[in-house]
Amino acid sequence: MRAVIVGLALLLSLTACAPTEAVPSGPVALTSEQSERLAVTRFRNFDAGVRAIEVTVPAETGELRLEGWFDYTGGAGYAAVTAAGEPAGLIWWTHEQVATRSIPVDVAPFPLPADGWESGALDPSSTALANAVALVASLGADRPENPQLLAQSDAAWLRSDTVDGTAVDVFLGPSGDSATSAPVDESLRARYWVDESGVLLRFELPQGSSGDGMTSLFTPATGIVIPLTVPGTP
Amino acid sequence: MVTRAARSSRVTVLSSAIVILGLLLAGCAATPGAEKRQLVEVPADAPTISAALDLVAPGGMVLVSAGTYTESVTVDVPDVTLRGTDRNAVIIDGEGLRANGVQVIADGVRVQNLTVVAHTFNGVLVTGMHNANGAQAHNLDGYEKLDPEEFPPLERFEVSGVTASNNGLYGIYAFNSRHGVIRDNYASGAADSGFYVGQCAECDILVTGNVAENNAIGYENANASDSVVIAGNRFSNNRVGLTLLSWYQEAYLPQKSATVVGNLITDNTSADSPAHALGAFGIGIGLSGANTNTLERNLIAGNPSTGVQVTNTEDLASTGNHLIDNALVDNGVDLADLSATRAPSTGTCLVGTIAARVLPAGFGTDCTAASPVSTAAALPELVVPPGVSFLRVTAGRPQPDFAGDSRALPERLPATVDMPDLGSFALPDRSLLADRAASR
Repeated sequence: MRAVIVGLALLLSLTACAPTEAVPSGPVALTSEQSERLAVTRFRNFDAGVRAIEVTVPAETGELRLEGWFDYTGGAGYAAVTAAGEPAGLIWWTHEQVATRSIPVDVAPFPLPADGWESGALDPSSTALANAVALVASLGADRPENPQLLAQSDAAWLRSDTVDGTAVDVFLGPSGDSATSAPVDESLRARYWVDESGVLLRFELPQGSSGDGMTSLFTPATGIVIPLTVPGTP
Repeated sequence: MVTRAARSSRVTVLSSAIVILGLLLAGCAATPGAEKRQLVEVPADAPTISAALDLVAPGGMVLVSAGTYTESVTVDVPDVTLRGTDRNAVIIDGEGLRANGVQVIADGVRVQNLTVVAHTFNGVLVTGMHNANGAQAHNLDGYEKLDPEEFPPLERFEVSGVTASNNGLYGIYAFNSRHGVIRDNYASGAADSGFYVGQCAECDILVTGNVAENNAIGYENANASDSVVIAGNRFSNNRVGLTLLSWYQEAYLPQKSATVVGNLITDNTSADSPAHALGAFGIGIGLSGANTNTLERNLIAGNPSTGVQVTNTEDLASTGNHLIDNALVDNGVDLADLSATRAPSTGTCLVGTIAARVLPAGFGTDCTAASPVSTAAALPELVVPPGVSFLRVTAGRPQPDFAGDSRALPERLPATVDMPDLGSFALPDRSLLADRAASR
């Protein structure tokens, strides 16, 4: 019986391919392998610890760029910010807090400057920048997600791509995604560029009517230690 | 020499031809009269464990030689034994990507003498809950309560001599299954628990001789009731040693009447472990919505938060749990009632049990009336070490190999478990199974 089923499946796939060369174009429901891989994407950030990030945020006053790191084990990020191509200062953040330093620098220095910081609670709804850093922080988890639930969700495969020469799949995140409170509308949902071992190389939230879009590139980082307390405080 | 080499290569060709023929026959496996085999060896007879399971007859054995197998294995043939020839060198590796190492969905299956590592969910999953999409069990979120009428329990199983390390949910997990034995296994680095028995009534399950260390929880028992016997295990050096609990996501509420005897539940302070999902740390035993369980002759010591913690599960109180002749020593608090006022515990009863520090005072001495209520604020405040990625928890030490003739086919598993004499499990000291543990 199994042989018959396999034969039938082959026949169906040949039939499907017959009229034109089938080039899948997304969104396509996840295979079980793809759902297992997408299920570990956030865990892979936690497993990696610190990852280097390059974030771009569209803004009316000119694009904001962040170059820095997020420590997914400790839960803190640190980056230099430019606005419309001009150095604007530094940002440090956790899941709950944010601190900014409005003294322009070309790159984020170590150790962190001891003075000049202003800190407060991180409110993602306050600014596009706050939203972007909160999104970066949300892309880690200390355990995998449930691949069966992902497979049953409206998460989907969009296309193959490369990021800096590495082959990736581009996935559409599910609606109701915990990172993004994603809408059902596919055009507004998060996209994940994920390599063969589940590592996230690029994340994109399309710009919607609320103007909260952002893109982040992820690369490996070594030897980076980000303090877990507000800079300038003991 | 040349002659011998030539002959041996001819033998290889011949045996390859037999293998190919065998595979071709296997392709027509469901055809009536097709030959299934009592013994299928990997890789000699089949290149993968999954391919071997297509060839093996019910009641037969798949014998796996040393090697790393990057496959997710589903055992769907009744009464089959899946056995490694070398526990420490037969490795089913999930590579941090695949969900389950071995999924058992047929009755009467044994899994023996091998290692399962780096799965995002379970090392070994034994479950009566399965459909065309494969094995299932409860999940972390989003699942409806599972219906045991639709999926009757799996009957008769044995998981023994298995090393389950660095798995993202449970090391060895029996769900919706009955009449089983979990014996002489080792589990470390699980992000939830090393061992888990869940959702069964009249379970008839024996958990004995196991070591769990460097897990978030050593052994977890949710909605598994009546004849569950947890005896002579080492659940030390996790974040939490052992839990008995009711859980609304699973059938057969509330949990009741398990027997926990002769176990070592000490020093659950591992920093080289994944974080507990709710941040728990330094706890020996947690009873949550747990009822009429017997805890006897266990050494519960060196747990800096609590030796035994009693609490409710939502509206389900913990009731009628008896602690008999245990040693509760050098814990932050030896025995604590943390039940909420909506579901106060009743009948927590200490008999012959040494417990110097009890919260609130007098708790456990009245075996009938409602216990007074305390709060978690009274427990020692601990610095909880950050969680470690389950893939990065240090591997354990090599574990002892299968003792018998590994090629000998075992008898069919019996209809019910041959339970040991519980009197044979004395109060242990810290040397219990210490030769198998990395942390001593």
